Amino acid sequence: MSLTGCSRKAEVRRLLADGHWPDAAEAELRSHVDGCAECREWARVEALLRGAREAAVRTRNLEPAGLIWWRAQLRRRQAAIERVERPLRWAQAAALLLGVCAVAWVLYGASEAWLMPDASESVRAAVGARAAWLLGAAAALVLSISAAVACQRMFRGPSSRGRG
Amino acid sequence: MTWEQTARALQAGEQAAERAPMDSAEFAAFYERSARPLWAYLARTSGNVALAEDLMQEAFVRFLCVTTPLEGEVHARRYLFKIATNLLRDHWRAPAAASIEDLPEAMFAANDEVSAIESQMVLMPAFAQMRPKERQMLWLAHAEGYSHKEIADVMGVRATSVRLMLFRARRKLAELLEKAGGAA
Repeated sequence: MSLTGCSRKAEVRRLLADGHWPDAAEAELRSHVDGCAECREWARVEALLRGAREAAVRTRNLEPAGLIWWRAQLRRRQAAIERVERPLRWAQAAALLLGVCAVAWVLYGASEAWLMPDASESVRAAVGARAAWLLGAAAALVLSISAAVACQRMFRGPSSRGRG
Repeated sequence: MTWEQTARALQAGEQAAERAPMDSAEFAAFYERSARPLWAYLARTSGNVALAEDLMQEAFVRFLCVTTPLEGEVHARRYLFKIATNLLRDHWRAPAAASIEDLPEAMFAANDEVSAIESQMVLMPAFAQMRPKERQMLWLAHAEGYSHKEIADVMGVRATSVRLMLFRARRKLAELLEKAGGAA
């Protein structure tokens, strides 16, 4: 047997696809298949598998297409939401980290000031101002990102669904 | 870019991402034509009717979530079979799933309400003794009529390997059928 196959295989395939094999096949072709091991094997396998497919397809009851359609729409929507929210979550995490660093810096500065009771008023004021500025910037960043997320969710609410 | 423009862009992007490869009417027609053959492929190559049902639905859901443009129904159907093949492969790779070789032969019995006697008595026991890849390849080639190139695309193997693998799988099935003494 060769990998390329007998040249008459295509004829048998056509007849099988039309449901005409072997009854409506010419006697000469049937005789060839009986004598050609490769064609015989091929025809048998194809007839059995096609028969199995027809039997399965004929008897199968299906779920309504609409159910699958709506499951898919929900999943697409969820994926779209994830895509939009991911960068905002990263920004929120960064802002939180910045806030934590600012608080740590302030505490460090305050402890320094407390440990240096002889520091001048101007030094204390500078430390305090810088700390306040950092805390304010961090708070503003966190608030603005949270507001962006909240607005995005508000806009998402009444937006139209996909087709269908 | 104003805040309003940003918000509209966000909505538009979301709606673009929400567009399925076909609308609901097109999908209903496509589903009607392709769901049964897909179920038959999954059920006969896995030997598990319940699994075939779950994977069939999941394949259609994933199909509707793709953003790659599809060139006609033939391409769409082939892509659907590719998704189903990958789902089947993932199922077999999962640690909780039993090895396909361990499943009892009875699972491969066609348990539809009405099934071809020859299919049940002859083909399925022979199928049970074959590897999953061999079953899939034989089904795609002979039951679905896919070309070697199409089979390679669906199964994610090299096109040059398909001819030889299919040849061997067909010989193996023929020998098993011969041994079982099944009539053609």
